[in-house]
Amino acid sequence: MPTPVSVARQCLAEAAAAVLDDAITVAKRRSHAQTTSLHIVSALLALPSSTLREACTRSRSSAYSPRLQFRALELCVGVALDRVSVSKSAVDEPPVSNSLMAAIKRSQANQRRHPETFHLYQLQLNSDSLNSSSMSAVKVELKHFVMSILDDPIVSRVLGDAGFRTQEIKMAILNPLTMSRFSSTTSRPPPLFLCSLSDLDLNNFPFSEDAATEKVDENSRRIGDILLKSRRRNPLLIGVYASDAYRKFVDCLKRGETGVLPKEIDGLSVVSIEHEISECISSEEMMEVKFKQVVEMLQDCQGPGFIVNVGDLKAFLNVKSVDVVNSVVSKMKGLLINPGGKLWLIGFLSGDGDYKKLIERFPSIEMDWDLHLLPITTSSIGENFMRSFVPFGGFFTMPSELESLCTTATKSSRLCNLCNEKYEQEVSDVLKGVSTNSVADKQSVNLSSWLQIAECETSNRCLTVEAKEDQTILDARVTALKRKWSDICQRLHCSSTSQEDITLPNPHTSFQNFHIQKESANVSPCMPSDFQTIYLPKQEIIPKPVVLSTSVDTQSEIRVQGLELNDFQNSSASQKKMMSLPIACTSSPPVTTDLTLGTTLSDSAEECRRKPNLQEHYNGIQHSESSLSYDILSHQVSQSSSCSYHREKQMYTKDLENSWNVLAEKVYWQVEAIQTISQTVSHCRNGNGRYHCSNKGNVWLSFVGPDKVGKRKIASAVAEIVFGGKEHLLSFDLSSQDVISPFNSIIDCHDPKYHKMKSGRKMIVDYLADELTKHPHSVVLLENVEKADLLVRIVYLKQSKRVNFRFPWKGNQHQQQCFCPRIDCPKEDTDTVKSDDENDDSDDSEVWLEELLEHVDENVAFKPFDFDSLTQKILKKIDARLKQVGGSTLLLEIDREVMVQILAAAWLTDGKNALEDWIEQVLCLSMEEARQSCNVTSDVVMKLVQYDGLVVEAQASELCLPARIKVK
Amino acid sequence: MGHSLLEALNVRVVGSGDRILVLAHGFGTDQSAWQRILPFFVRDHRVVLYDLVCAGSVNPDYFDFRRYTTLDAYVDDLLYILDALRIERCTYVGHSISATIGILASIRRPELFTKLVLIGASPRFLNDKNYHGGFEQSEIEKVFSAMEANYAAWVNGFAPLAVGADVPEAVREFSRTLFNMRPDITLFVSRTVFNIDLRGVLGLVRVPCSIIQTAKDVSVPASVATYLKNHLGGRSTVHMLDIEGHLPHLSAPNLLAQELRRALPR
Repeated sequence: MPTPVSVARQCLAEAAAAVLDDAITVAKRRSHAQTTSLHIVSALLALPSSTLREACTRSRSSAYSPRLQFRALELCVGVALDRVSVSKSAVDEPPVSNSLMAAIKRSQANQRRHPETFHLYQLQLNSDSLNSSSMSAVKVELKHFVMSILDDPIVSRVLGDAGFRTQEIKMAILNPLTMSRFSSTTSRPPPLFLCSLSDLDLNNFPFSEDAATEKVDENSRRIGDILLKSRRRNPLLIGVYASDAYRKFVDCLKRGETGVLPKEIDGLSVVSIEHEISECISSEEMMEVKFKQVVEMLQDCQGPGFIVNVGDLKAFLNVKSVDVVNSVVSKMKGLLINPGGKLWLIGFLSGDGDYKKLIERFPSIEMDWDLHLLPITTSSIGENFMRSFVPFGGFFTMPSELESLCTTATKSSRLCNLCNEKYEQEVSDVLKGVSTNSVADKQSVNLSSWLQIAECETSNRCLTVEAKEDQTILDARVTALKRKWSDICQRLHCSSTSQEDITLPNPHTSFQNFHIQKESANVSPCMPSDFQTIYLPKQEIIPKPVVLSTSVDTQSEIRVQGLELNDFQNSSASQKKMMSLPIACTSSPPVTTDLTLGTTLSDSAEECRRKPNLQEHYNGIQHSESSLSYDILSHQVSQSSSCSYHREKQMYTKDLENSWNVLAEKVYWQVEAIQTISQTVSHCRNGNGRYHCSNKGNVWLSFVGPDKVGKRKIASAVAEIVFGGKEHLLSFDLSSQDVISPFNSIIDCHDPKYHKMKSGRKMIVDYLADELTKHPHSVVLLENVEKADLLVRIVYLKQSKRVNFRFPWKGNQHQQQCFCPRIDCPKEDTDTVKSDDENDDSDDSEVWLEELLEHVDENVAFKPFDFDSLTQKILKKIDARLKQVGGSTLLLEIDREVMVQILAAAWLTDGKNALEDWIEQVLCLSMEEARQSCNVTSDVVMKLVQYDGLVVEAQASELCLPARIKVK
Repeated sequence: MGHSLLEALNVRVVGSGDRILVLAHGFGTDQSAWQRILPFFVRDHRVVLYDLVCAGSVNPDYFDFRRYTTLDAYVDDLLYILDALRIERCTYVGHSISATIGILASIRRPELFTKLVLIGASPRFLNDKNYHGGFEQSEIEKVFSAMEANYAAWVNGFAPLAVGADVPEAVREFSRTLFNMRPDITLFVSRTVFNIDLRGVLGLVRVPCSIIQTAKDVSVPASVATYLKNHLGGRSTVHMLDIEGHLPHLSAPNLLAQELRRALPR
């Protein structure tokens, strides 16, 4: 039964009571019969700066804009309040509901325990022993009040719908200053009690826990504890669930899972004599053989030792001859007394009755085998079930008629990034539409505050009713949107079958470009060695891939509508700044003419923005169709949920083939490699992968061979083909230990600014872990794996071996990931052509590398890039062009450095005809101009050299060569 | 870990006397449930009271969802408290889940206990072949979904049912303590409780037990008391109370106190 308002108010301190009053006003205006926690939340959100608002801001998901997420929250609260039934009889002060009163009581209890006030209340409590009414003396502060409100399932559900986690909000309230999204949600509570009973032995404090026990079930943990004891250390499990627990424990050991056992004996191996025990007893020879084997193993034993599992000891009860058992028992006893303490024994019995019989028949067995009885009363299977239990957030659902609405609502918070973002966009559109239509009454608390945010400033009391109606329609529309998107997401992204794991082509733009940067007088080690030796005598200028300033953060902001354009303006501006290395074209009498080329950079950037797909970067006419269908696919799915999945799948498969073909033409020199990759990826999709993918959807490929550029291109294309966008590629160069961000912003590993960032190996792993948490659908490119130092190697090796793609980040990882099944395609990029600097530890390296290569799904061999034939091809083309321009009278001498640049540009470019275009439109034009400017008609020798003093003003489209050549 | 479990679980020792009596509350209540029983014993007993970690009066942050998946973790807490208080021997009175905890504790450390008094105890709540625990799996699932759907409604419905008798104060008190529990913890503990099966280990109990059972208990059928008596390893007796409900210490404290007096070792 509800509590009168005055009683509740007495329990609250001033600020909290004010919030309660606000909430009561809300409830009253809505003609609700009771004031609930939801009304409190609504009142808290209405305040411009409240504890809740601040905490929400700190704990909100960085993926969305704060404005949007708060609107979503206000909307969700509004929707939830609308669902509360309206009372017929108007009450002046709607009384406080049971659950809200319970929350107040909980906060009283909390506050009483709080260290700041603990002593005070302790005194009160002592003076008023056992009388629970003393609780009412506690005036609840706002902070504690908000904390308890957050525990209310209705509140946590509403917050969950808006993408907040109550646990994180609580953390934010508790630790206003240090709030990290990735801080472990299971971190220990702050020490609440400053006074402790000093004369007590506080060792072995049961609350202290071992991090390693996290994933171990309680039964196994207890078995482990017993093994550590010095006496009675051989567990005999007893109980209905004993065989369960026994199997689970033994299986864990057999699988070699680490962390099941306490650290001291981690790595214990298992010897099963279960079979012999059950059969044995009939043939003593078998037992003899087994015992001999155990003795041998004991002598050879290196690790912490091993455990003999004897299985169900009921076998001893069924045997006719007690002597046989006695001999087994005494032999075993002999082994167990071994000096090293390296032998354990484990067995089970399913009931105490059997145990009694066992002791009756073999009274000494308990002593001889040093048995420790361990009653098992909970099934390990049940525990698994319990483990799936998610405390907080989204667990509790709404009752009865709202069930269907609610399930979709809960799911919406589980949309994958892509769908979520689209969903949010649509919601915001709907919001905008409504807020301009409805004239909200600013003074009406009745309306949730998102309506008050509306641009419309005029207040008009008459329209309150209308606005309310609008809100109902709005709610319905938002719910419909939610359902639509969760449908789409569920069918396309979150279902468990392999095909459905594929994300749609991401509409986000990724812009990729390169430019040549002049670097004086040293060879960059990032060039493949063969290229260096053939074409680069020392003192060369080399092309370098360069950053386009699209950091991960900006990317996520791009998702919010309206920022796209700015971002691109920024990036093109920054690119202009980075232009360097003009090429000067000199002819005999030096005349300087500026040549301009039609395509400016900003144009091409703009174009790229409009046509995000890889195929569209590509000029080939024959491929335009395939790219079109790609577009259609994403379009269809985003527009209507009605198109059948089967059709999508077909289209997708077809599309996929096309995509691979396009890639094969683009990186024409690695056709075999691309075939292997496409086969492996599709195999793994179908669950036929060699190692990981069959379990987790991760695909591991190693790229062996030279041709760094080819590898990068392919990796980036895989990201686009598999996940729909180049921004799904995370690229790391392990040799430099620097954090290399996504491919569309390749950072040169020797860019001076990244040398400073060298904060060590841990960072790569952490960074990668962070990125993968944020973007679970990712292709990870690890370059120079063989150069990675030991720690990184170990981590990656573990990853590749382990079924579970785990990084050493703690805490809520499964919460982050479980909603979207992942297909990571991490790759190792290994250059087998080793450079000189790694000779020192090459032995070690090779072993490690081999081991790693064994554990990937496929090793893909890369052929060296054929620079010779490319050079020939380019020269032929230039020659042919020259003949057209100046007949046989014009000779062009191309400086070696310039040739290297042209080669590099051809290697790096994504455009098929880009180089030809450049020759035609830039080179030939400038030569023509040069010839005209010096008025020479026949027998001219021109020299194309590199000019150090100028800054490149424009770059040829899709090619890292200048768009102009200066004529001197 | 600078703080103490004894503080966290609100351990209190009241009364005076040579003999030590531990009163352990059951699911959905806290130590205040013993309020009206306590006066009967403080004169000649040192009474140890504590809250289970799942109780609403304990800081919910202490409830480790990984650790408290079996009752053994609760047993650890109990034994830790007894050791910390340097108790070498005691009589243990446990209600519902605490009765089970007492059984397991006495298997582990028989020397600690002179006697167990089990109120509303059950080795297993689910029916099985040849065993009547009182609940079918499907029923339990219904209860869980009801709890998930609307905790408040569940508490309001469950409290009177559990109390059984028409004692509004008892219903109010039980509702209060139930509401004090954080809902997710309540649900988790109920799952734990319905997961346990002590049938295979009862025979390992050596300590004498008194089983106190009310005539009608929604959680524990009367036949369970007989099952316990027959299977417990030590000498055990059954005391039937001619009242209704799972919480006699709330609904009929005087009667229960008298029965307890009789059950305690002289």
